[in-house]
Amino acid sequence: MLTSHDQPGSKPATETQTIRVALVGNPNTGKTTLFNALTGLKQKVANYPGVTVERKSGQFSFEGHSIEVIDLPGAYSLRPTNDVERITRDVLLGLMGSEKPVDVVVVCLDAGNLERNLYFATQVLDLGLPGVVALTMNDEATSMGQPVDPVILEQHLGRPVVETVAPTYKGVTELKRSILQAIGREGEDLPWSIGEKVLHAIEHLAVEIGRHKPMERRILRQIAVELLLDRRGTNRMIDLPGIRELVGKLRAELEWAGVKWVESESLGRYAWIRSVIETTRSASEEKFKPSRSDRVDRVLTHPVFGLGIFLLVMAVVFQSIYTWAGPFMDMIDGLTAAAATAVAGSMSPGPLRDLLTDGIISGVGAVLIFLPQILLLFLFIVLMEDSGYLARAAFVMNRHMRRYGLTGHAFIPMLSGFACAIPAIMSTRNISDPRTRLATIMAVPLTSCSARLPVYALMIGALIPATPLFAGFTAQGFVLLGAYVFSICAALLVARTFRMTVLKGRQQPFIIELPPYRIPSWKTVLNSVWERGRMFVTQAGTIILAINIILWFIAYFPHDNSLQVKYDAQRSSAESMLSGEQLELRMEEIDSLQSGEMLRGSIAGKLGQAIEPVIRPLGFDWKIGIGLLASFAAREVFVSTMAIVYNVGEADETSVSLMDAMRNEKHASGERVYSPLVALNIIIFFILACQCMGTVAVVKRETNSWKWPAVMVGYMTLLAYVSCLLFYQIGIRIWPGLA
Amino acid sequence: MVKLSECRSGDIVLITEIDSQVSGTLRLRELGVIEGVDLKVIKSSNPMLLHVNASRIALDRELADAIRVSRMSLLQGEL
Repeated sequence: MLTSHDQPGSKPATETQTIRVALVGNPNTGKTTLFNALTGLKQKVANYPGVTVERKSGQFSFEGHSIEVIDLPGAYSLRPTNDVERITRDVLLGLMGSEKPVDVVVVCLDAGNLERNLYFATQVLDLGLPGVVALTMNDEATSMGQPVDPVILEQHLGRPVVETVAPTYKGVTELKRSILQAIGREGEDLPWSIGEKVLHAIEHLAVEIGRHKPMERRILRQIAVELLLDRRGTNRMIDLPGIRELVGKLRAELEWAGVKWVESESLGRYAWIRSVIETTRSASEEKFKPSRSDRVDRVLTHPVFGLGIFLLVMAVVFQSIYTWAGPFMDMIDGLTAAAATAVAGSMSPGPLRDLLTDGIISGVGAVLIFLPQILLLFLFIVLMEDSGYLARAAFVMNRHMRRYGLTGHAFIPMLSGFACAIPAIMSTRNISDPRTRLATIMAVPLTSCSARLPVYALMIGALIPATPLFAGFTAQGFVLLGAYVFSICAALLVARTFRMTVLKGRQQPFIIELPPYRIPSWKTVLNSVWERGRMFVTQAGTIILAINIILWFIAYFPHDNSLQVKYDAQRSSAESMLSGEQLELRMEEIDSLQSGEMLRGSIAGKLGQAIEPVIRPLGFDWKIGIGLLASFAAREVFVSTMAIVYNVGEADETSVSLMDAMRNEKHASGERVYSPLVALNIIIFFILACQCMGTVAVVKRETNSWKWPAVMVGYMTLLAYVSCLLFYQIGIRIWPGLA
Repeated sequence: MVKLSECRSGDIVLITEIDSQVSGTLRLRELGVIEGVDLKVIKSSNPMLLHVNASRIALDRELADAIRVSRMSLLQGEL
């Protein structure tokens, strides 16, 4: 691999070629703001192959050059502990096949936290790539009485240091100029020392790696440092022939010589960093002086007040998602219906028209309907993240989530699941430990999302008596409350079970930085929210649309034309005999009779009948079976499907005619189909079963495989079936009066 | 010398030894929690909250078990 920095002094990027710049830095250093200032709105967001880490890039032109900036994920070290940091390492070291080598690397340094920022910066500069240092937030550091001198810092680092104040664009032009000037200029070695014996071992290992993978010398040395000194072992290079053995031998030799090799890199770098800082920043008068953020944190991280405030914040977020999204969802619903009507009016009847209106247009509607909740949830999450509050929330919740094998980060997805599992699953990206993240993804669909509410309302309204229990509570209210409590218990237990079985493994130790509170930049916030929405529509949306069309297909075919003829005859006889309101009523009745008979004759109807023996022990008949199948499109579809099955025409969860039809429904034997026990069992089924293709699609997208969505559908179906079987079979024996 | 996990809120201590066998200590080292650095315990709850250099770092108490420190007040007394 021949990269630009193999030939010092040469200019690899001619004016026609795009110059590739990587922007790196610790999290919370103002890197994203700087990225926005450099590239304006010319940005692209995609995914790195195989992981759900966003690849953000943007373009700008400067003095006739076209420059592409890649905003690499924030990292504390080049030795990664999670997917996000791994991407940064792989791109910088040229280990990622899909990324071309970088021409210049821009390192962001937060002047307010120079020690820790310099650790990662020195690791990056050690790679020898042409580099520029962007010193951010020096205004903040100055106001705290600890300004950093960029000129002296430049002397130490041997690379241009440009002070930037991103929101005002101060220093951005100078930074662009420095980037152009840096091209082709290899940076000199930083004079920090790792210790003679360790260095010797590194050189030895680097030569061996180079035999198998010829690379630039300084890159090889960095890989050697990682393989030798980092026991977390996330670099595949260890599998090169003989390398693992050599690493073991070199470590043993160092050990034998009494060298503390594990500590060598951090001690060496920080010793040098301390000497750099002594000359570039004035010493503080009071070292551990509490900052303004510390004072706020006295309340926000308090075990009692902090928890209370967090729960209050989440209640507000959750309630806003619930209520603010409503009107937009109704609007999308209305627009979808209007579009379907418009198309239906302009086409002649037939399968193609029905495919367009009921399959495709309603499918697009089924995708867009999630957008208001997704955008709102992410608006809140990005605001919490960019202000620094999210880290505090994780801090406060960590102890409580640990009991279930999760971390504090898992709380927000779990709670968001009560509005909608889809944005909730998308928000698990904040969880860095892959096992914890997967366990959270697996558990989130059990939290009782808003789409289940119409089903609860229908079942409770139709079949649970309003018997007063205590203190104003009725049996109806108790069942509704019980459904929510049951779902959160199920979700937590499932998370714990996953962490104790298939996703077993020591929890990564909880280490989190609480960044200083900052006012989020609205541009950055809106940008991230918009990108989340766009990614959902283009990636999960296509799967949802496809499944919607399949579901339409099985509910539509085989399309029996003789039924159309039969009901058309009824319509024309009604038209000749009746008029006015009577005619309208009769026409509605014929419509609902026809759609009922057609659904019962369709593939879906046949499937419902075919699964009856399986669901009979749960107390369900084949009509409920059709409802269960149809509700895979979305749970609330259950209500409208049951209305079609029972020929009651248009109905929602408060429809009296539908409730009456259900109450009066009898088995062939004369027993009633719907008893309170069956109603409870349907509610339990809807809590536990995975009846949401949107969730399946988004899990596929977030885990990048079909394995985890399959596991999810499998365990949820099994859990729902077994629970309902036990509940019903035990129930009819204990409370025969309810059956 | 005491374990960091035994320190109280408000203590200012000097890190003397870190058990590198404990997982997570390498990340702490990268964040600046290394031998010879002084830190202030902001909260001794679980997780603990530390003030190290300019960072505020929260960590599990079990992880704090792996860190040995000298209380600065004692240190000053010895000097």
